[in-house]
Amino acid sequence: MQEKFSHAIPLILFTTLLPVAMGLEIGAALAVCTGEINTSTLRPILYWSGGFSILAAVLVSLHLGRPTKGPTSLRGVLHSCLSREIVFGGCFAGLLFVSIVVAHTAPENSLLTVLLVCTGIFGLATSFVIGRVYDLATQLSWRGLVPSLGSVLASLLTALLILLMLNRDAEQITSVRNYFYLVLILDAFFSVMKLQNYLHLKRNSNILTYPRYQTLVILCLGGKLPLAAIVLFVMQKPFLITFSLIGLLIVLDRIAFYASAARRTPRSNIAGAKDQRMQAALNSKAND
Amino acid sequence: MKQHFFVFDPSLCFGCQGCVAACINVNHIKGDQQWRKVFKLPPHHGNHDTMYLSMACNHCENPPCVQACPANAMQVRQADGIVILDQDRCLGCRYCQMACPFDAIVWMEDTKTVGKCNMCCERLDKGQEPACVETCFSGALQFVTLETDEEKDDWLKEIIGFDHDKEAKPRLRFVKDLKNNPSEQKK
Repeated sequence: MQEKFSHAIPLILFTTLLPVAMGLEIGAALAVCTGEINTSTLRPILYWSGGFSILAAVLVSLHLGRPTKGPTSLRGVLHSCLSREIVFGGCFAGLLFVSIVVAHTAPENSLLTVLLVCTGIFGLATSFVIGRVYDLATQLSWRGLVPSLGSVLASLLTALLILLMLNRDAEQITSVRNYFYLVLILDAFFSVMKLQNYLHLKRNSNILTYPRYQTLVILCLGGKLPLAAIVLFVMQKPFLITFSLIGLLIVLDRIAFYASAARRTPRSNIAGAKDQRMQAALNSKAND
Repeated sequence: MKQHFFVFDPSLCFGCQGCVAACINVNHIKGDQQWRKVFKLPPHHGNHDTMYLSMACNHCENPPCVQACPANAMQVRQADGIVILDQDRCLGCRYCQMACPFDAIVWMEDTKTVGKCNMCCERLDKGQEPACVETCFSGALQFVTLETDEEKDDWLKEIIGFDHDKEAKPRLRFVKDLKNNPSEQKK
């Protein structure tokens, strides 16, 4: 595997921007369903969602060796999670584009609500699949459901924040805010789990793909906790501040995710076996 | 289905890197993009000589790289189970590199795709052995074709420094009657 961490930068930006774009759309869809939004407010949110999606697509193509071969990535849809991610992401982008067109041409049409809900469902599915792509048997730190849910939580946080911004009903605001707190606490709890898992893996440093970035992973995962606490306090402040802090929370999660890559390779197995031998020799000498 | 296996005897290998050089020459790849690598194994009990492990793609029975590849560039050859890479289809996402448990897939900077051992399948089709096996004059690296599954158990599946991945099922085996059998330490 490529040992340079710089290779992961386009992926960090992609997996930050796309869930945020999906969160914006999901928030808008929920607001439309609850009747809390008018067309003039809806359109800018959809534009931002579309803009973030396009930027994410451009950035992700930068990590490909041959971006022009991109369309071939749909061939493995039956077995490859990466293909499925592209299919879901493509459906989300397509439906979002149609939603924007309908929001312009027939904003009062009930078709718009159906389209927004469908787009949101595809968005949530894409967020989930983005995480599942990395659930590989070889990748020790990315296995399981907890690392996979990072993108879903990012989308949900953004969606709930949009819904909070748009809601005018005091009762609904309270319930949305409770959901927001719940997702934030869940995210913080998962960060603690990921940190615990990473510290466990770190003991066998041979298996870390980026051993030089150990401190960065600990700082990012640890830094998410005080940042989440700050978000709770600035909830009443202007939307942009809370949105920026949520963005920072997502970026930290993604940096920690990619920098925490760990797997067993022949080289790490041999290094591990050498360490064991050395320890056994030292122990036997100490016993003598 | 017949299956091809690399069989390796670490007690015979003295790390000459001839297999690596042969692979580079036959496949016209650059020296820093080795499809076959020689690893130095940890010292084994009762044997103070340095031991080596020569390894390339193990052409697993359940190859994770094939499952991962979104472009179907990695495919299993139906006739003999060799995992082949169609570089024209590869889009260079390196997802297969993440999925491979043996670090056998290499990034080829000049073509912006990945590259890996194809077991010299063109040579095999002509009735020749893979270049690495043909070059190995100590006899440490051997090539075996099996018709039945029972024969697969005639060799060791793992030695110190090489863990047999039970999910992927690599087609790499080790000679049982080694002079200083590293597997004794494994037990």
